[in-house]
Amino acid sequence: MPPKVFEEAKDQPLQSGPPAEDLSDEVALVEQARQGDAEAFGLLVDRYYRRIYGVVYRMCGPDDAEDLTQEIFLKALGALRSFQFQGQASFRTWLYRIAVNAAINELRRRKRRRQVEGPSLDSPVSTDDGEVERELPDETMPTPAQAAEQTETQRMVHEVLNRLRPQHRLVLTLVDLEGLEYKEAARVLRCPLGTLKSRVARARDAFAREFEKYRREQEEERTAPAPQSRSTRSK
Amino acid sequence: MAFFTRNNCIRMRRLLNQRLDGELSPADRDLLETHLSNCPACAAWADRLATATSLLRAAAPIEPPSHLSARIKAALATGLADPRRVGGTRSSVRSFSPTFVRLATAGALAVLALVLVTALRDQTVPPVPVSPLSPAPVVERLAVSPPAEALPAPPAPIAPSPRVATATPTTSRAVTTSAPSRPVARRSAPRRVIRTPATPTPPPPPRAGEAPSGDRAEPSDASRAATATQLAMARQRISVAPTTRPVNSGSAFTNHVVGSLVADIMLTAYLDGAPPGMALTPTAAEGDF
Repeated sequence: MPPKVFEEAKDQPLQSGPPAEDLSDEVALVEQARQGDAEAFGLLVDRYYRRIYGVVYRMCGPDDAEDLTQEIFLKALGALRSFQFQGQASFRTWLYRIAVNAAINELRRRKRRRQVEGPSLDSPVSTDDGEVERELPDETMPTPAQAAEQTETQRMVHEVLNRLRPQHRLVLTLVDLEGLEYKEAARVLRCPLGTLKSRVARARDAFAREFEKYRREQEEERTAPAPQSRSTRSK
Repeated sequence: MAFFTRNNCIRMRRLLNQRLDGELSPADRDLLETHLSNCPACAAWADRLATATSLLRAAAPIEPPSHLSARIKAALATGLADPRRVGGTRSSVRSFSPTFVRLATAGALAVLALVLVTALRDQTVPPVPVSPLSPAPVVERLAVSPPAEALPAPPAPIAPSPRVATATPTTSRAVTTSAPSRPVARRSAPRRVIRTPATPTPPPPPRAGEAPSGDRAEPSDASRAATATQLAMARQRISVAPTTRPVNSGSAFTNHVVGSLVADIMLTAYLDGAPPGMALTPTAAEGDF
């Protein structure tokens, strides 16, 4: 049975994401930061590091989220000279774009590392009882300590999101979790507005399907007797 | 019942997403409500989608660790002090993809092979005028064919292609045949004959049955036999006494292999006409331009 919060707003648009920032002084702050004012850039960091951390956390998991967030701001500082305002929210858009690119690069790097170093995720493990499915630690999942800090809803969302393809995860993170408007999300991803809407629709459908599976699995786990695990955890 | 057609359901599911974003027009909203009240499958899907989306939006933002802001500012301060670190990456060692490494290796090997082949060719090409049977590279022979008088009794003519003649017009007319005259072969279209306007080319040694320039000459059986014999002798000469050639490579085996290859190519070209891609004689198609 889904929590009550699911039943509340089915027929009305849902608001999501962190509260909007006060952008009135953003142009001045960015200009001062471009002149080398560390304090001004620090204020911009304070304003956006939660959002950037959220995107990186959703895309890449908690392990590297801190490092990646720091790297994103270092990149932004290095590239600040090339930044040009194209509207009031454009610094945030620009920062989001850097974050999205960094997250995608990190996912690619992990994929390459798995190809080069790690065992194939598809290959079963031979045991005395026959071949069993391999279980690997998921880098995008929080550790038990991190999971304890999350709410139940956060944990569910994170688990279902990690079952999706990165493209779907990305648009849902930007639009539904971070609350970006379609126009801004389209600028972040550099795609036409219609394309973004289609992607969001497909991603929501995929999320709904995976959420249904997740709920069924949870119910089966609750009702079924605890099975004896035949899988082995690779080292 | 238009309500339950597949296309209609697909369209209604698009409208469901618009409803989630609050972008549904009143007319579409009525249409959607009517459809949902008549289509149980879409109604169930609408419930699942709304539940999943509301779950997404109900998730509180991820709260970063409390020390993260200070950590970023410290890194930025270090970066400001040392501009080389600004914009740097976490890992100093960049990892290349396996595909990139494979491609780069293949490219490097290809360049190495090209350099080796070029060097080998330079070493195996004799610097003196050679007979048509010599193992000089075919490309070089095509580009600059030797003067007709320098050829010691060539066994058979090799008509240069018009393109080759264009590149070296002075040698364009050195096309003869020693075979008994056979009528001009297949002249399907007027051909471009490049003539040397000012300096007439010295005539080749008198031979019977000289064919007009640019025409395809077909050797007789006797000529083919003679050519084959001479080629065999040339190949034997190359393989037996490679040291008599002014080649300083010191690789008799290489000379033998290259010489045999070139002799085979020339024999094939002469007996069978120009093979594809190596037009020693103009083909009908090439003659049309």
